[in-house]
Amino acid sequence: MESRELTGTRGAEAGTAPPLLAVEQLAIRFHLYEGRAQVINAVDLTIRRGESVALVGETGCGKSITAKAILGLLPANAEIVSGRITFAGRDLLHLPAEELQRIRGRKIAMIFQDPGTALNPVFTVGDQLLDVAAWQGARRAPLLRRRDGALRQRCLEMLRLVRIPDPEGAFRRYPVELSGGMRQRVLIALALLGGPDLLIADELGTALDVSIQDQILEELRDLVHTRGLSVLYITHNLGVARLVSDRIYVMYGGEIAEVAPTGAMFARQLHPYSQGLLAAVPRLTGAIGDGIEGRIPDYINPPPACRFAPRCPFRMEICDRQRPLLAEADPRRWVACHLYPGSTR
Amino acid sequence: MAEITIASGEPRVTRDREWRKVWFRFRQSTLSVLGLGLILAFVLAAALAPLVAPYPRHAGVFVDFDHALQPPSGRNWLGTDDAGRDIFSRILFGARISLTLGVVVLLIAVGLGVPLGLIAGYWGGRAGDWIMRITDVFLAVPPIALALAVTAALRPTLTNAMIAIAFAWWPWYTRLVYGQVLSLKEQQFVEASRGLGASRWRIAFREILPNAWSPIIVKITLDMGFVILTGAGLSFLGLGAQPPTPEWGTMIAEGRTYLPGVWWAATFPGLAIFVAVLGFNLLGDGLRDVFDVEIEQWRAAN
Repeated sequence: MESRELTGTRGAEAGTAPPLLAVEQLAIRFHLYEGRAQVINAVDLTIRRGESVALVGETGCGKSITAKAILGLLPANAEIVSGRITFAGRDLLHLPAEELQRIRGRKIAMIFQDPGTALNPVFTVGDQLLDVAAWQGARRAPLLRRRDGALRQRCLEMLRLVRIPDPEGAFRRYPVELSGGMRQRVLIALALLGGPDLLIADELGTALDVSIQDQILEELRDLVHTRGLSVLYITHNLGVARLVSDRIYVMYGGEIAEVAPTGAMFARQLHPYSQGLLAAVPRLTGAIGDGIEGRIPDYINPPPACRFAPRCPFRMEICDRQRPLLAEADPRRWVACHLYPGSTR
Repeated sequence: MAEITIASGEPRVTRDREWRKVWFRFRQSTLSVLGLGLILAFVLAAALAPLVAPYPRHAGVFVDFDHALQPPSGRNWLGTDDAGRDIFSRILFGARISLTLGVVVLLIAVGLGVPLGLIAGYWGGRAGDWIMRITDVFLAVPPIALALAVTAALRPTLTNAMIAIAFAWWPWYTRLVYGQVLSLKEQQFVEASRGLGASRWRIAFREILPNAWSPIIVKITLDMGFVILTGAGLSFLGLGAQPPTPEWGTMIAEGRTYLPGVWWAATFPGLAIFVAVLGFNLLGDGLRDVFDVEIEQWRAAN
């Protein structure tokens, strides 16, 4: 499939090294009362070592479902119909539950979006860090050694790393005693604690002040660059994607609409949906953009071919007949739209 | 060096202040403080019975017919019973039995009910359904009736009464915890710890259970009174502690035959039960108010 050839800015330099994470032709459906919803449809996504990728789309386009599929945390009514998810050469979809549990946190860690609720309210920050450090480390850490000693030092080190001003103080406080920004930093520290290769940041900082969000995103960006980590940012905010990512995947209706290096994406969008998405971003100067007409598609009875066709200003006859395939339109740029000859095959 | 001391010393002040805040909130209600006072007196009576009681020997097998059925006086503050035993001393020793009964029954009920509720709520599935349907069957029968049936089937002893009450009591904890878990497991911190590789056991017992403790503690406090009442009821009917044990229910049963003339033999043990149950109820209500405020504040903060 063409997806193997998708390479990022740094991926190109890495040559033919296999990607850290490869999602291939992933299809997921949900069993609902109303029927079967084909939510994720033939999604391809690759992340190379040290690469930051942003998955961008409207609420409900399937970004978070894709992330949960990677972590093996899909809800019970979700079914993976087909596809492969390979991480560091291992097939995640056919791994026993215990193996997958060992990968979560240690190899792939998730940073959750809402710092207000993602920390357990009844434990101090330090206890939560120690707990995670203890269970991810040796099978059983002796209780007495947990309070002081190496584990504690490592946890404090992490708090320092995410730039919490008073690590000792934060360590002994309850989550409610910290500000939203501090809690978000603690969540990042928790995710980094297991020394993962891949971080998944789901709507990171969306619940925060914009200025604090930017600050945290920039710090995280620098942190992952110096440590050579790979990151999958899940966001509906193109500004965030521009700030942190090397490459952007635009997702619409459970399908990948366009893939491009971040700079190229902002210079020119190929897919009509990407164009609409960017036009919808409010700016300080000029009028508010038109946005995109209509709503995300019905997943139970999706549009027959191109899922974006009903909302597309360039809709053609073929768009209702044939599904556009993701094809290379420019060097390192991939798009699934009949406006580009490669997609019509 | 000095900096570290300051940094680590300060949060302790925070936690100290936290406790003071809880105590302040609890103190707002005179009735809660009264409940706490009654319970403290009850526990002290149980702990210090051999030291405080004027006639410690009267708690066991003891007969002194010369002083039988004496009204309250300077010698016997609460009078004597038909065997000439000092009722005040026996009530103090009775506190030990009631307290033991309450603690043992609730230890069993909580130890059984809470894990079952956690499993049914968090694991769910077929096993969870079975646990909850069995729980429903138990809940359909009033605890006192169930306990009566069990003690009637076993030999009537204090130990069997405890077993019977515990047998009837655990489903209430399963129900309570089940409901708590159903809402807690949808919280994001549960999913977050799954995302960090926590196992199901760890999530159930280390993440969810600690968040469910406050309603459990309130229920334990309120239940202490009811369990003591139920235990006394069984003993009163002759299905629990047997004479000459200074159990409050047994004492009422023994003194009942001399009513109304010898009113003190049944009335004072009855008052002891009343005070203990009232104390636990007031304390439980007070604790619930304190915890409710905390929960509300936590919700408001998020």
